[in-house]
Amino acid sequence: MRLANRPLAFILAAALIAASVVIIAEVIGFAAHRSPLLVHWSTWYHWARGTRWDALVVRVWSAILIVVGALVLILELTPRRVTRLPLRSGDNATDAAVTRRGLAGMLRAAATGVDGISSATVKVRRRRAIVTAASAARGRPAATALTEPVTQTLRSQLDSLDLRHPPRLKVHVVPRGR
Amino acid sequence: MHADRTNRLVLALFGLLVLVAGAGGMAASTGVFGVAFSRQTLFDNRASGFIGHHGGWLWPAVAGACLLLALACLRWILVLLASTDRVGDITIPGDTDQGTTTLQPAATAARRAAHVLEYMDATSLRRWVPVYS
Repeated sequence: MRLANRPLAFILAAALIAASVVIIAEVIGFAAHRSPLLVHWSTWYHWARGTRWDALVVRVWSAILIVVGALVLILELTPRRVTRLPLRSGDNATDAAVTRRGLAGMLRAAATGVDGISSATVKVRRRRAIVTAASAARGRPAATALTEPVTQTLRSQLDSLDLRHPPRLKVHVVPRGR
Repeated sequence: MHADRTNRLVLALFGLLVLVAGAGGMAASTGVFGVAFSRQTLFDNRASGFIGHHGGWLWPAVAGACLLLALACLRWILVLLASTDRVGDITIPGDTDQGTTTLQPAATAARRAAHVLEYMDATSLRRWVPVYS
């Protein structure tokens, strides 16, 4: 969204400059009895003087403005996707962070480092890290027995990173498929 | 840095203004401000009357405001097009009698990267020197 905002901002700024130039030119033109100069605003003026608020065209344009305004507002106010999780630092001048992908890789490596775990998939979100590990052994009891050691390993890995807002850990250990 | 905060703030403000204008127009059109008002023409109201009666000073004032707005937007566009996330050469403060010492950001970044790699036992690092404010 940050990247999409740049062309949108450019278009808005250019449109505001163009509108400002037109208004300034028309005000000067009106004072010099040479109006309209750039835009035939007198046509709009007469249209507005003859159009009632309950006209269909007013409702249509109002609906368009509501939709456009709501869309822009929703796009701008939606919280950004978290790409980096800040680390604690003793020095205010130091801004250190771990990326979501980096944290997922670390947790995956830690989970597969536990004896009895053959693979793991990790999803790191803003507030939660969801780890699904597959046990090397078949059967539900073997997988359940591994849940605690995997959780402890991952928790100590998270603690060692000293994240400013560590995500909540959710661990599932599933038995190996056929 | 490409005015990202300004972009977001101004676009949100623009969205809010457009939404309020649309909602106001719809409310006036559907009779929320009274059926009598919805039957009036667009310029048949107190605000339009005020603008009509005070046009002598109001329109030049609007033109002045538009000039300031255009200049602000021009600066906004320049920031959008010209700024980067990278810092320039860093001047080392101190006595300049025998010349000025400058530090290239790439050298600083390389040194920091080496430190971090050594400390974290990592294999690679994306080097980045932020803009000092």
